[in-house]
Amino acid sequence: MFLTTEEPRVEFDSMETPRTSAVESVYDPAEDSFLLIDALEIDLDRIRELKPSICLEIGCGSGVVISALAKCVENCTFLATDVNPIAAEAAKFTAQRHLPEQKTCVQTAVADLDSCFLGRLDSKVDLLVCNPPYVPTTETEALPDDATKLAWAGGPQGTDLVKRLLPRASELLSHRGCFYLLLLKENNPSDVCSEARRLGLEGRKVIERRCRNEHLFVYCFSRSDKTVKLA
Amino acid sequence: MKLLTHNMLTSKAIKGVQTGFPLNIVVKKTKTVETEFSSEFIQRMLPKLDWPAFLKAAQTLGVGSQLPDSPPTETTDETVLRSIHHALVEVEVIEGELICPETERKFPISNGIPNMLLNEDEI
Ligand SMILES: C[S@@+](CC[C@H](N)C(=O)[O-])C[C@H]1O[C@@H](n2cnc3c(N)ncnc32)[C@H](O)[C@@H]1O
Repeated sequence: MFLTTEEPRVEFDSMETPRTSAVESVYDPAEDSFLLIDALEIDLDRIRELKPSICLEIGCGSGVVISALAKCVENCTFLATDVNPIAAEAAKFTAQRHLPEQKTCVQTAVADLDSCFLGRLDSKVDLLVCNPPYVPTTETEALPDDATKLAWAGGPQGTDLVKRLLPRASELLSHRGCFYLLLLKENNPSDVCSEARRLGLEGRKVIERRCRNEHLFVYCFSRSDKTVKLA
Repeated sequence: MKLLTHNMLTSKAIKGVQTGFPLNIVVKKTKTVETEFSSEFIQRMLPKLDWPAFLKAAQTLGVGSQLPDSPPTETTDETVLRSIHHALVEVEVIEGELICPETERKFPISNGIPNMLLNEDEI
C-alpha cells in the first residue's frame, strides 16, 4: 500500500474498525478480532434483513466487535458480557467513543457467559457473537488465575468455553437467530459443528484466514428446525 | 445500567434461586443522557419487556409517573412511547446495587456496569 495524504475512503456499507485503548489485562484487538468483524461485514445484508432486536456478545474484551456492529445495525439492543471487569469497562468506553452519544446502545455486564441473563433471553437473541479464548492449553494452564490468561487459554483443544456456550446458544437464539463464532483449526471446527448439530444448530463457514501461525475460521450457526418453529 | 438492561438481568444462576427476577435496585447515582428517539426501536423492544418489572424499576428511579399500567398497543400515541423511551434508555444507574429478590445477594453497579459474577460456592 502506498501512502497518501487523503482520508481513506469509507464505503457506505463497510464496517469501520473502532478505535480501542490499550489497557493492561484487556485483550487487544488482533487478527482474530478483525476476522470476526470481517465475517460480520460479509454477512451484513443478511444480518440487517433479520431486523435483529437483541444482539449479545460473550467475552467482549475491548468491545471492538460489538461496537463495529452497533454502528451498522439499527434499532437493536447490544448487550455484552465479559468475566474481566476491566474489559467490560473498556468495551463501554470503546462503544461510547465509536458511536454518537445520542445513539449509544451498547450495555455491558461483568458475568460468566450469559449467566446474568439466565431465563430472560431464551429464544430472544437474534445475533450472538463470540471470539472465545481458543488457544489449546493444558488444564492447569487454563485455570483462570489471571485476567490476561482468561482471554486466550482455552483448555485442551481450546474449546472449554465453546463447549459450555453451545448449549446456551441453542437456548438463546431466536428462531431465525445467528451465532457467529471464531474458531481455530486446532479446535476442530468439524467436531464443533457435530456438537452443534446435536443441539439443533447448523454450522456454516463464513470465512477462514491464515494469520502467522494461526489458521482461523468464523462459523455461523443457526437453528436447523426453523420451519418447525415457525408452525 | 439502563432499565432496558435491568429488564434482562437475573440472579437465576445462583444455586437454589427459582427466577431471580426482577432484581431490586438500590440507586446511589444516576445519569440522564438524551438519546435519539426511534418509535421502531421501542416497538421492537416492547414484546421483549417484562412490563411489571419495568414499571417497578422506573418507579424506583423516579421516572415512572408517565408510564401506562399495561404495555401499549399499536395505537398508542407518540407521547407515551417517548416516556417509555426516556425511562428505558435515557436514564442510567451509574452507582448502586442490584439485589436478588430471593436470597438478598447484592451485586454492585459501578461506572454504570453491573458486576454479576458469582463465587464458585454460589453456583
Ligand atoms: C480472545 S478474547 C476476545 C475479545 C474481543 N471480543 C475481541 O474479539 O477482540 C476473549 C474474551 O473472553 C473473555 N472471557 C473468557 N472467559 C469468559 C467467560 N467464561 N465468560 C465471559 N467472558 C469470558 C476474556 O476476558 C476475553 O476478553
